Amino acid sequence: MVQNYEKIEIQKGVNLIIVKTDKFKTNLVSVYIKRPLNREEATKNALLPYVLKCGSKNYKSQVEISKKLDELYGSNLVAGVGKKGEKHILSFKLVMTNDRYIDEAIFEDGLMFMKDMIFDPLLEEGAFSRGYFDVEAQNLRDAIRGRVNDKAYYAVERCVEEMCKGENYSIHEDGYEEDIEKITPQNLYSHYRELIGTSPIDMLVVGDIDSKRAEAAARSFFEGVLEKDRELIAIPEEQVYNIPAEVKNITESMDITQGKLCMGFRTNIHYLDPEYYPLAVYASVLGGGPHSKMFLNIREKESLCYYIYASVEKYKGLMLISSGIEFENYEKALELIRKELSDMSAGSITQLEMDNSKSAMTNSIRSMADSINGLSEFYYGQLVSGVFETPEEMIEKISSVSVEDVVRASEKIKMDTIYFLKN
Amino acid sequence: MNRIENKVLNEELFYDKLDNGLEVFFMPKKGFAKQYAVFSTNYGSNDLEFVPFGRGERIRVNEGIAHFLEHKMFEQEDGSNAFDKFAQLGVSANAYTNFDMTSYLFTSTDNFYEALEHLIQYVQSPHFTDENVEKEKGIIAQEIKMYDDNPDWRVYFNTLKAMYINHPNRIDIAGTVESVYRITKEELYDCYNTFYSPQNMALFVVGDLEWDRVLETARGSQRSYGSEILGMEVERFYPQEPEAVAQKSVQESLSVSMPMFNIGFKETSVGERGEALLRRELSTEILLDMLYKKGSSFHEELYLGGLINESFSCSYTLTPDHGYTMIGGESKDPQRVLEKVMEYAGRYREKGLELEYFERIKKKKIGNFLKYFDSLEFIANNFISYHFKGINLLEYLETLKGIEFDDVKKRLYEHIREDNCVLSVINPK
Repeated sequence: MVQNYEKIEIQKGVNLIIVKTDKFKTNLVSVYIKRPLNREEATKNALLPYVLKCGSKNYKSQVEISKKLDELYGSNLVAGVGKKGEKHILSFKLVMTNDRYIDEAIFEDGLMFMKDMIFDPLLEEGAFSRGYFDVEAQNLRDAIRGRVNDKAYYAVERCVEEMCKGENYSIHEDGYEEDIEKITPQNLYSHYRELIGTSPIDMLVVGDIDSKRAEAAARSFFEGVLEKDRELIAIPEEQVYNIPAEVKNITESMDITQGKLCMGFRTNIHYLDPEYYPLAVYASVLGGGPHSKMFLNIREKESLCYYIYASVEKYKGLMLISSGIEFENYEKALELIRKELSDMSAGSITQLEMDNSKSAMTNSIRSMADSINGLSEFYYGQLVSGVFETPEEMIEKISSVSVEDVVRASEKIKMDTIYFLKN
Repeated sequence: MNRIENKVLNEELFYDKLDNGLEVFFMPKKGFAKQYAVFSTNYGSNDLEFVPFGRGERIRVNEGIAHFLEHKMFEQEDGSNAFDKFAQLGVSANAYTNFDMTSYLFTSTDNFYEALEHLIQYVQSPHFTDENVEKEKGIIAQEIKMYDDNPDWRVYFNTLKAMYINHPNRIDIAGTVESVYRITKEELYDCYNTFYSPQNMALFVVGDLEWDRVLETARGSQRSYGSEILGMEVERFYPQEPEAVAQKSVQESLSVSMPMFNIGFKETSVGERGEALLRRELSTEILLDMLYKKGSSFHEELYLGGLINESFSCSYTLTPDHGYTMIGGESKDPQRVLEKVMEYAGRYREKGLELEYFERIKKKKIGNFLKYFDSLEFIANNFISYHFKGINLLEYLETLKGIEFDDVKKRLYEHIREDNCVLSVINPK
């Protein structure tokens, strides 16, 4: 699977990546704005995309925006924030039907609409529109309060929050309720100007679009909205290496019927370290799906849970184990998980387990290229890490991982926090 | 062998019926790395009463058994798990059960034909023992409890319970912890032997593959069936469902941050299949889009008024024997949202729907449908689900284009009413 892509620097701090493929009926244009993740601006960053997508100077209301999107054959504009390590990423994505299925050239038109929504906001007296600001501030407040609704996810977030207390990674991507009170339409607009003036901004175009055409459209997208020589904000690197002095045990209560367990680990492995791919294989053998040790032994043999998995946060070097169990099985579950962990570090891993894990990882890397959004996220991830690897190169590195490599990686992984949400 | 081509979609479909009655479908997708196969039976959690194969009288089985059966299909006679072989082949396998269908599937990027053979063989060879049935109960109990903690699922199911008086739709797909603990291996075999016969199933394959090999593999992997199974017609029974709803409103308290709601409109004209069903589905979806979805004046008023937020959604489901609209989300005042839903329906009944808006929504739906064809999962899962309702997914666009303004206007009077409407709310504790 060879994926053709081109990387073009539009200007300093603005990259365009074109991923050309003719297998989709759609084209996707993503615009990513990168910020440092910190308490000062997290809540503002979180609020901004939602205020922007409410209305622009030319499309003032949801009714007008929807009308435009319907005319673009049901195009869809999605705005939001996420975090990669200690970077806060604002994203805007426009999915359009490919011109050739509708006999109408909508690509440029779609891009101009997106430009308008991001760079020409609806203003009142030099600030964001009060009405939209209030609505979106309330929605953000609701979303932050709503974190408790998904209990399994909440347990994972609480575990990370406790584990990384004092580090920027613990900052929530949606920000904080108490910080919303300090934001006004005026200071949010100043922040927006600051953000446009100083952030790395990248555009990804995925689809069946001639690259000259994509480049021309991208150039006119950025035309007249960015200063030529912008002073870019410094985005600090994550601190990945950390040996916890002791394991933190945290138990909290909520009115629920099933206990949610989350264990947090410091892997002490940076994605540039040679142990990175061994770590990825480690997590897959331990809890990467129905082939994994935890699934087979803790779910299938012991009937202790329905779901149990391990995952790696690449940029911050964390590993998390998550499961839903009976409250009274807490000790038993911990004991069984510890047993699997010690088997991992003792190298008690069969060739079959290695092969199954590598095949599963290969399958998911290859499958990624069949999703238009998957491709966009994959290539943007490469821009963020600065490591350019094709999917095949990644697969190659995974396939050369040995049991010894996995054991070596396991020596660096340190348990940090055990979080349990009970009744 | 048969082949259908759809020029607008730029897709083609191959199909054939094997001697044992199994229908096999294949859609080529050039350039995709991934391949996807789904093997489904036209049998789901709603099928609780039937005449089991080889016996003369009607029985009622324990609630949640179709889903239990799905879990147990993975047991192999040699003591291994069907996942084991999939794992060795490097493919990702899964299964799901809903009200009227159970599906077994995998996605691969390599070893497709071996995995297809395995898929067919494991689904065609049940192996239930007292011990392996017993072992599953704890796992399923945890699955049920996981859903008990999920407010989205609770608010949705409570709506179904409020809408339906007798129909098994009001029963959770996974059953209850109690009903699951009563399930026996004999009962599982009764269900399996009745509903997993080839003529009650379909196989759908999509990916950059060869039709000849797909068909050959499907044919070569079939287990042999006795003629009494192949000649069997399944007799199933559903209770008579009145038009009325069970209760107008249902409330529950859970640990949530703000109230969640679902407004349900029960479909009272059911019983269609094929194009008639699809026309009803599409006309209703267009109506809901025009009345309530983002871009409507209802949505704008309630969104800016802080009555609904990004979580607001609106959908319509229709099968040959049941159907409903669900309008849901989070709101500080669900009762007020319900009043607004009725108020806007009334307003449009008075002043009429706008033709221009209708055309725009149709255009949007055409674009959306094209977009879905970028997802192999969407194609496979929807193809099979529509197939069991007598619809060919490739005819979807034609039917959509043929929907007339009058069809939609009619649905406004038929479907959005007071008497078929229920409100389900989850309040914060």
